[in-house]
Amino acid sequence: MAILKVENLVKRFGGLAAVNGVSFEVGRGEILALIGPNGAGKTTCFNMIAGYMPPTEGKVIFDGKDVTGQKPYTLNKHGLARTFQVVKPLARLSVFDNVMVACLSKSRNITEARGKAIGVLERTGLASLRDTLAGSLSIGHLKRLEVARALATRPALLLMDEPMGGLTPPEVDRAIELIHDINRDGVSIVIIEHIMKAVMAVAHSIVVLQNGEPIARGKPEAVVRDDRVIRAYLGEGYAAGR
Amino acid sequence: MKTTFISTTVTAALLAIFVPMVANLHTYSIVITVLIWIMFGLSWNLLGGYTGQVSFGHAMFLGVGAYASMLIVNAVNLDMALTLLIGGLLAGLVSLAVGFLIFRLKGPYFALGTLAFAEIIHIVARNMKGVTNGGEGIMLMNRPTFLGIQVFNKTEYFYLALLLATLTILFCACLIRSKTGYSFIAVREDQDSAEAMGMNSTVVKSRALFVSAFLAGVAGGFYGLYNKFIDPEMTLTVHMSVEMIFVTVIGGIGTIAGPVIGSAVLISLQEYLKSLDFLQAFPSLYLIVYGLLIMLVIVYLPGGLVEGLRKIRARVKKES
Repeated sequence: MAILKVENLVKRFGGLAAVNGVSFEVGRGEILALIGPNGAGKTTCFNMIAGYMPPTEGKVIFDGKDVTGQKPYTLNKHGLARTFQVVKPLARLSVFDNVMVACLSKSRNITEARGKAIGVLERTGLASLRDTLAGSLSIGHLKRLEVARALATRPALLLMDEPMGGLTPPEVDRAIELIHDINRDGVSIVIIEHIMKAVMAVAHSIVVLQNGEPIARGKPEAVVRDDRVIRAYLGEGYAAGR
Repeated sequence: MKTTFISTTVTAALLAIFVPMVANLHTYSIVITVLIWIMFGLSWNLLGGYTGQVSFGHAMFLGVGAYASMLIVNAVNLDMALTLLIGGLLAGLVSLAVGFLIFRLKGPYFALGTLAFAEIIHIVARNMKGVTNGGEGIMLMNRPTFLGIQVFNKTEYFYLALLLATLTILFCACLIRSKTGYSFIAVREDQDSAEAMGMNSTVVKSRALFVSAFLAGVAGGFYGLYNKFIDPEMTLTVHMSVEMIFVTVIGGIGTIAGPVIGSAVLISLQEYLKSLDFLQAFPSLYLIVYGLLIMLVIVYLPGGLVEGLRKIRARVKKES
């Protein structure tokens, strides 16, 4: 059974259809990449799946249950976590406290949450920054903190919204490693990302959106050779370079 | 946590020993007023400082507590421990209704909403003569007791105020380091993030408002009984709400020490300014000086006096 099934999702803002008839499925343990040009509706899709805005039409089925329109905190309790494209750290708390707070909802008390937080920090490579204020971190570390906080809620499905935007090439490599590592633990992932190298390195399958509509889907190798995808998003240069 | 606990209890014990040695009636009234404002400040701070929901109407909870306690003591002379508790719970109850209506508003709209609510209650209190005796106010008619001990003169009120303020400080310090306290802070820092971490922000905010209103209600009850008289002007006006914000912001918003230091400094300053001869020619002139000083702190020390103390400590450390 698929962990996430999105059926004919539509979101209209007034006359504009930001997302128009998007459907896809994420199998258990799968990494699916959602790609497409800016304004294609990728983040809007995420917002509807994670409960930040209700869809105008369509259904979101998570773990076999229809969860359309449910609130983010309810979905998080059932094992759906997300990271934000524009990072949202708890700026005046330390890195450790950020992760500890994320552990709280699934812990009985602070002591238990602290214990869990140490584990998450080590796993995400943030242990050395534990006492730094989150507001003073570099963008690379902030993106990592987003992932750490999402992981701290013990998700079965993780939605990552551009976890590598603004990272340096070595940071991208480390982020790819981290995603593989998370996935090895059985967490299914949907990732929005513009860095194609990273997408090709992690994705098991790809859905391409343009103007709110899906224009291609399938295995990464096939999708990047698709003419429509090359014209709409990747460009001739990318195709020639492969 | 330990240091807060130790420093609070030690300070309270020292005050309990030394204040009665030196105090006359005037100093007692200043110290008691400071202690009362510590409680009000801490109450406001839970919602405004820790949860990030700036209320301009906290006087309504103060007022509900004050009227409830006064009416209960006058009617049945129930022990103050229970009276204040009931006053606090009633204020909490009002907060649930207010929160239900108002938490769909954010930021400045929320602040305006609280202001409007407090004003409604102010007007109701002025006109519902059957309960509140309107603008004429209510006198304390009985000699109240606390846990069986009579509390009537300034010394007795001083000890009780000290006890209540100490308990409020310790309670807030514990709360803020609990799961609930961290959820307040998470909502303040970023509501979307808090929800992504499994917190229902409306529930978290309502909880913060309830606790905050409860504390304001208890302190308001004490404030009324201590003054032995209440009317709508001294309990329910915007002035009271704003003063709660002042003592917190000047002291240091979002800290436990903030409202404590803020109240101590501001209330003493007010009393001092009021006593100056050249300001007494015009009874409200001291407010202008007071306002100027507040502006200076806000401009040069946005983190309040607590931040100032921290800066001084850091500089001393560097030099040594």
